[in-house]
Parts: sequence; C-alpha cells; structure tokens
Amino acid sequence: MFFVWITEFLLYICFCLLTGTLIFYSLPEHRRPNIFVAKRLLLWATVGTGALSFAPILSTMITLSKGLGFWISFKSTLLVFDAGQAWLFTLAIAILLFGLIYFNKLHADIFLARIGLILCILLIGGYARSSHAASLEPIAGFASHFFHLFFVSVWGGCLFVAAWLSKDDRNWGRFLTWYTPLALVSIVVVLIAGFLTMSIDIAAPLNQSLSHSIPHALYRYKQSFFSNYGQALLIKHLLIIPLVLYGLFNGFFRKTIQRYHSVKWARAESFVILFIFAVTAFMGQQAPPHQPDQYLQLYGPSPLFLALYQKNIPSDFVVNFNLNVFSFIFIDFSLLFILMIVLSFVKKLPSMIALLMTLGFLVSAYFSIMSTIA
Amino acid sequence: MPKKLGFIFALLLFSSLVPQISSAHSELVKSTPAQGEKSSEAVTALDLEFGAAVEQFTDLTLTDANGHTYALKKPIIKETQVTILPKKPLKKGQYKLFWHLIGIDTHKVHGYLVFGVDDNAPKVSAIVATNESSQDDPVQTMEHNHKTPLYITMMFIFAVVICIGLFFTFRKQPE
Repeated sequence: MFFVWITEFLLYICFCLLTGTLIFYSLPEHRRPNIFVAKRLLLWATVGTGALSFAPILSTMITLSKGLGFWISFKSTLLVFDAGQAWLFTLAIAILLFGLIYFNKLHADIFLARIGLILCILLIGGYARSSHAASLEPIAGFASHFFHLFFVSVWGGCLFVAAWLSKDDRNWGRFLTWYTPLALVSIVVVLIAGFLTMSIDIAAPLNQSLSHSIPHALYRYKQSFFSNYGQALLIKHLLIIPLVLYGLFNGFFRKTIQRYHSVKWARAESFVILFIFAVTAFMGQQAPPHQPDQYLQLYGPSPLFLALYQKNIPSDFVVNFNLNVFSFIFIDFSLLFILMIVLSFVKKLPSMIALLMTLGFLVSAYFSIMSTIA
Repeated sequence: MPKKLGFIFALLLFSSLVPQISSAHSELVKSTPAQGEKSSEAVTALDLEFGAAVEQFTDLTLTDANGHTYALKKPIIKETQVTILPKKPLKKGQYKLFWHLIGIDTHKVHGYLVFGVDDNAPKVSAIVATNESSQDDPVQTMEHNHKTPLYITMMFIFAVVICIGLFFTFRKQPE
C-alpha cells in the first residue's frame, strides 16, 4: 500500500498543476501573473493523472491475483469493478487532454484553454467517482468529494503555478484582485464539502437517522481518533490553521508590510499545502472506522495514538477530553508558534523559519489535543 | 459576486444531502444468523447484508471453537446481499466467519460474524482464524506510563525551536 500513498500524493500535484495552468490560460494575459509553463511539464502532468490514478486499481489487482491469477483479476478489476470503469473514463479524458495540449498552443488560445479546463474538471470527476464517499452515497458522496477536490485544485493549483512558475512578480497585484476572492470562496467550499465527505466517511452504518446530523458527525470524528484514519484527519485539520494564516498574509496583510516578497511567501504557503496533500494521500489508504469494536479487533489502534495514549483501548472506547497542566502548556506553545509565524512574516525572516514554526505549531497543537484525551 | 456563488454552492451541497438515498458501508449491516446469535437449529446458509455493494471476496473462512475450518461453496453476491453456503449443515458448536472483501471503492475491508448453534456465540478473541491478517494480539496488554518524560522532552524541543526563531527575529538585519 505504500506505493499508493506516493502515487496519490503525486496525483494531487498533477491535478493542481493542470487546473492552475489551465485557469491562467483561460484568462486574458493582463490578468495572469507572468508565468511560463513548459509544454512538456503540462504533458507529463496529463500522463501523470492517467497513470497515477491507476495505482489503487493495480493494488486491487495484486490483492485479487493471489487467488485468481493475474489475467482474470486484471479483467474483472478493469471491466467489472466500478473503480476500474471510472479509471477507463479517466484514461479516455486524459488522452483527449494530452492531444489538446500536444497539438495546440494553449497559452495563446483562451478558447481551447477553456476546453482543456472542462476536460480537467471531468478528470477530477472521474477520480471522485471511485472515492470512498461515492461508494457509500452515490450522489451526495460523489458531489461532496468532487467539490472538495475541485476547489482544492483551483485554490492550490493557481497558488502552485503562480508561486513556482512565474518569472517575476509583474502583474502580481492584478492576479491577486481576482485570486483573493476566489481563494476565499474556495476555502469555504472546501471546508463545507470536506466536512460532508468526512461525515459520510466516518458515519456509523446502523443508525441511519442520526448519521448525518452535525453533532453526530462530530461525535464520530472524536471517536475515530484511535485509528490511523482519525489521526490523519486530526493532523490535516490542525494544518489548516497555519495555512489560513499564510493565506491572510498573502492576500490581505501584504500591503501593510513594506517590500513584501509575494513569490517567496506564496512558495512557503504551497509547502504547507503539499504537507496537507501528503497527509490526505495517507488517509485515503486507511479504512475509516465505521464500527470501532470490530475495527480494533481487526486492525488494532493507530501506532501514533498508542505511543501517546499508552493505555489499553477497550472495545467500547469513548474519547473524553480533560484539560490538565500539560495540555495548557502545549496550548501556550501552539499560541507562541502562531506568534512566531506572524513575526517571521513581519520581520521578513527566511521562509524556512516560518515553515519550522509551522511544524512546531502542528506538533504542539497535536500534543495539546492528545494530552487532553484521558 | 464570488461570495454569492459560494453560498449557492454551499446550498447545492446541502440540498444534495437531504434526500438520503441509502446510508451504506462495506461493513456488515444485517445477517441471519445475527451477530452473536444463538441459533437453535442447524444452519445451512449464512445470509449477509452489507452496507455497500461487494465486488469480491479475497478471503472467506469459517472456523469453529476448536480451530476447524469448514468448506464453503462459492459465495453468491448480489450487490449488497451475500449468501454463503457451507457444504454441510453446521451442527452444535461455536462458529466464526471471517472475511476480507473488496468493496465497490476498491477499499479492502475485514470483518467477522460470530454465532453459535445450540450453544452461545463465542467470544471474538476466543477464535482466531489462522489466516487472519490482523495483529497477533490486538488487545494491548502494556500499561506503562512514559507520558511525563515524553511531554517534558517535547516541551524542551519546542522551547529550542522557538529560541531559534527568536534568534533570527532579533539578529541584526544586514539591510
């Protein structure tokens, strides 16, 4: 399963690259940042979406082939399984997009770039189609996962391309006039859709009436902490806090700081997003704990959780939060780290220091939550 | 204007949730005999209902309390409904069915069903199928407390990191 973690991570990056570049190409030149995206890079990203999304299918084939032989498992996975069919769709779209990019100069043709963007949206749709949430709730699960993924690609994609592929910060102000509101909308949609995806993914299978109310979802969320899935989810959520902070500076406070180095901080922000992608890719490979007692029996608790909890976990485990001295100290540390992130923006420190403080925030906030679980 | 769009999207998302088509997961939802049931008659078929459609089983083992494995026919899969037929009716004893399946989303899901025939259903931990891929002993028996030293080490590390940040903040800028 390790290779699927890596391929999913790279797949998210490919989605971002494609969406970001095609959004820029769909706009008139005076609204884009001064970017140069090599055609070869775009082509590789397209090949990447087709090839990398094959990895989970390949992993299924390998699991199946132990009993059935490779050829039969190959056929049934690709042609019978829903995920296989979804991948064939993805492959077809990826080939179309490859042709479109290969034979045209998209950077000079707004119309074709928009067609490319539509193909790219279809690619993301194909991916969301074979997701966990979509298998549980064909329509609502698909919709929430799709919107989550699409708006992450819009937001992160524009940021990646602008941060890493722009030649200088000419046009940066013009770019921000439309990107800042877009990023705001994207964050709101990503959070709502992410919450819905989560509530579908971790809902209990038996009490259907309760399973989608917000308090129930929150209860299931805290109850999932003992599993790998829940731990990854928690880490991901903690990382959103510094990410939003970076975004605030890049979008709003930049004018209050003299000689603000936009590209440098956009790059720093993209590192935080990359980290979130890595955690998400890991989380996607873990089974969500629908039935905690069975989950504990079959998979055991998360090693990370066990390292900090250090007690037996009974099958009717209930997560309770109790504040104690340690949690207060760790909360103070997290606040200090936030302050340090702000300082590194104001004092124009190297972005490495800001990222180090972000890591510090993540670990101390994680410890403050874990130390409250009694 | 973009904010309005955001609200519309949010509304769309919520409205798409309201008609709940089916709440479903590749876990066991219902079964005959039921989980933990004490059946009084010999069992000839196991009917399982899963929350989400099952693509295929990669492992399916029926064992009793003594560790005997029972031969099974090929499971009949109709979307979420699965029927499992033992080659011979199951007589008095404690049984556990263990499976490893591939759900419609390619997730691999483990699960088990315990029941008894003319006997109480066995405790889950009492029967461990030989090819179960879970940990040897999922019930952790360690109960030591290294928390305080760990916390203090972490505090020390945090303090050092913050000092590094402060050093960069207050060092004389070359400009």
